[in-house]
Amino acid sequence: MRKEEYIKILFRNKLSVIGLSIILLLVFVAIFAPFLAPYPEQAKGEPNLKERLQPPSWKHPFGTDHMGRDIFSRVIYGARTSLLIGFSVVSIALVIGLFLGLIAGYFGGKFDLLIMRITDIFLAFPPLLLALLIASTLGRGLMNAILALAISWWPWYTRLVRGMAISVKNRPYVEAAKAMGVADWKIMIRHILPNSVSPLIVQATMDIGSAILEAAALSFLGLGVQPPTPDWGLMISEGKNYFLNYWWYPVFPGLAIFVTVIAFNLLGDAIREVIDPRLRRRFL
Amino acid sequence: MNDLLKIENLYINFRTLWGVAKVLNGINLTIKEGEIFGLVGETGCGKSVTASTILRLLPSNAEVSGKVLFKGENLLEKSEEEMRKIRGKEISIIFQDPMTSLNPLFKIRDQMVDVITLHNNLSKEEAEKRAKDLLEKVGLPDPERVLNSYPHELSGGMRQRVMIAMALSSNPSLLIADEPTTALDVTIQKQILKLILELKETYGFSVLFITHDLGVVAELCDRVGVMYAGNIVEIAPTEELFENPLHPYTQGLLSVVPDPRYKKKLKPLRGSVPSLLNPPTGCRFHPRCDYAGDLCKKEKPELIEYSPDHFVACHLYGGNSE
Amino acid sequence: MIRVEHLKKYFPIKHGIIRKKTMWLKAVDDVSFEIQKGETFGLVGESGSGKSTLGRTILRLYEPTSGKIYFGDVEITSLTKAELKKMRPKMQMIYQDPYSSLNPRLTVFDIIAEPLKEHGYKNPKERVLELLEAVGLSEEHAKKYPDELSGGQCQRIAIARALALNPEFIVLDEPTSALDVSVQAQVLNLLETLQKELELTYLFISHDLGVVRYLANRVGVMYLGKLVEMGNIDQVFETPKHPYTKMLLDSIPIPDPKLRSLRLQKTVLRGEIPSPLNPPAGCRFNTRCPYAKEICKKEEPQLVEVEKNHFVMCHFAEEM
Repeated sequence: MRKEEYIKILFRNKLSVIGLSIILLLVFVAIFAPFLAPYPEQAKGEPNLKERLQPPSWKHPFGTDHMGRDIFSRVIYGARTSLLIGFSVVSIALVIGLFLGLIAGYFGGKFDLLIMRITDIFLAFPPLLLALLIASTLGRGLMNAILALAISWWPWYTRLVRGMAISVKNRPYVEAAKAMGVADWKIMIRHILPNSVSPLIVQATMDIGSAILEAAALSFLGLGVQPPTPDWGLMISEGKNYFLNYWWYPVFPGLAIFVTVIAFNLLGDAIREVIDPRLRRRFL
Repeated sequence: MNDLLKIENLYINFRTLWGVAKVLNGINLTIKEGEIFGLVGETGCGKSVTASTILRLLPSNAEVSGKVLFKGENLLEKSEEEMRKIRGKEISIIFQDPMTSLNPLFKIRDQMVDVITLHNNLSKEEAEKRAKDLLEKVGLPDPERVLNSYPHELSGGMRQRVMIAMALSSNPSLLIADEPTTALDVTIQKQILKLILELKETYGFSVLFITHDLGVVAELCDRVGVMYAGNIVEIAPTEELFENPLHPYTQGLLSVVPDPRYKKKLKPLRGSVPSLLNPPTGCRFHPRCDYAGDLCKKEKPELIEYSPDHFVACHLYGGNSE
Repeated sequence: MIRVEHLKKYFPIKHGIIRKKTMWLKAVDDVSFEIQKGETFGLVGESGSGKSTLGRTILRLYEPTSGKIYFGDVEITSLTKAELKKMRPKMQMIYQDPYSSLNPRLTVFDIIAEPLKEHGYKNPKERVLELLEAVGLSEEHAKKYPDELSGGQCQRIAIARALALNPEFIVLDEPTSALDVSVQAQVLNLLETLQKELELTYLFISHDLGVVRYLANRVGVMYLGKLVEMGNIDQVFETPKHPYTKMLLDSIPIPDPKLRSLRLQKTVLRGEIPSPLNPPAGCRFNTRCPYAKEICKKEEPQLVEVEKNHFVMCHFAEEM
């Protein structure tokens, strides 16, 4: 009965269905990229200088770039990079955020003080700036980009989780667990954690889109992903010089980012709809 | 005494995500001028929905049919603008939790003056004077201090008195009180009940007092209506109801109310309140009734006058359409 | 079975931004009493009386500020955390709101199995089903989540959970206040049956004197952190000696309309309940007491035994 309810709520909103569909399409594309891309070798970087900077045509639906590579294929492969970054960044930040947030919220006192002060220091930086700083320190490359973004992201989750943990720890069922003699760490995992994650799930879903966007910014600035890896941000960066005469170069990767971020936001909204009514009791 | 409020065959359905909830199943009741009418029932019986219907404050997914006659006019047929003139002026309401009925961001002064000037043509100074006057009448000894306070600075009992003052500021004919003392301590509750009674004697308004507490009903109300799962099952003057309960549900209810005067043997009703999405056929009480017969499963009993001024909706006492 | 000696629980409230003052909320202020094995001790009072705090402090869910608590021969207040954990199965608690006392993310089975698994049961299934039956539920409820069940059913699950480890003593904090009156009757009957079958001792906290009359053998009345009257339930309810108890009993709505004109005429208790942060000097009740004299404003009265087992905390206890 419950699962049927969730599905009903999820599909109630047209926009959420659109968001969900786009993301499923994206995942599909990312997984089956080698089969969907007409020119997989070019996507991975092999140059094709004979066909440089050609406008969109039947042969090359999105045109070609300055190395003659098929942009359509590169955009498809770019989905892999983007989704990888998005999910990795958010996952790492979630793990760190949950860990620190639970400890700070549940134990309070000195732990709370220490963790929140560190969190505040990180939060004082403009997020992109912090990511830039870390990325430039760590060096270029995909892994460093992911690390840099994750490090600038975890403080937000810590704060969210801490807030929820504080309100949950005073609930009677937590006290009942204590009255049974259950150890603190077990209480945190079994009782506090599952009841603190709802706002986090919504936020994290939307953040996947934002992470992709920020990773694109990093690539655009030369940090993060390096050529010839197919990455939307990198493609925009390379394409910006050609924008005036060869508009298709940066536009299609740009559209890809745009659509992806919107899709994740819509999905986040949809999930919020599902989570909220579920917390409400059934109508008598 | 004339009829002030007459509800005729009121049916209300709510369209929800899980189906249609048949919240009110054709209720009939009358409130006379100057009387305190108690509406008793447990969770989900529909007593609060009845109050919302009188004020036409139902959510958009509600389907309504029937009549709500106030001073002879059907409130369900009035326009929103006409209703706004009635709400707060002719019919006022006080709720259970005064903390959420009062805006925590504004001082009492602002909120009271707001309400008073809305329904009366008074200047701000005159409204303030009226507010002070009302606060004194509801038993608050230092009106100036109360006016200067924010809601959270006052105790529960004081907030409820402020609510009563605001509700009475335009001399309503009907005061609806929806569980006004449920959240208060018992000694404070007594003060508020006494206050309501005194104000009623002085100003002559009627009260629709909604509660689940039969003790409060016994102390305060002139007549009582008992509700179960969207139906009115019995209406009678208070003494008559307690002495001579006719409906099996009323009997069951009276036998499970604990009495501090002695250790009463509680004989609980079996089963539990039904879901309104899928209520029992015929008489909604039949699954829990020891006297249920075949007719009870098929036909809903009508509310009939079994003895003078004592109404009951049960096939044991007639109540068929014959 | 339970003995409480001079128990105090004060909460520090930090006050002010610049000059940090600490005010003390004296929730429980020097309370002493005993609960016999197998009896139900009722604890009544209004908001700010400290009854809920007292219940929790007895189980050491709050650490007492001072005073001693004895469970049988063992002084609980001096136990270490590890020793206390071993005692935990013997003393359990049931809460007021059935829904928030159960973890909404766990199934009924997991909720009841938790204490069992925590204390060594490797395969709790049989015991869980046994407990469900004892509280009047069945196996099909085990797979459900709390929000799929009614308030009465949730409270039964809370009771099943409390019984899992064969406790001897249960603190019940307003266990039926959030339930409809017909469901309340079912739960009260269940509690009574279980008490007889399992030889349980109850500390029953409630503001509803009718409910307390039903279950309790002895009763204690609390006001602003003090135990102002204590005795046999019939003694206290029929011949109350403390002015507060009298007023309390006068204020309860009685489901008998014939008494109406008499009762509403009786003196209504004036004033509001003072804040526990700033209780009146002398006898805490003096600001609202119709019999208050000079001494009441200055000196705190002691608990006096006015008849066998009937104690009152009032300067004029004998005369009442």
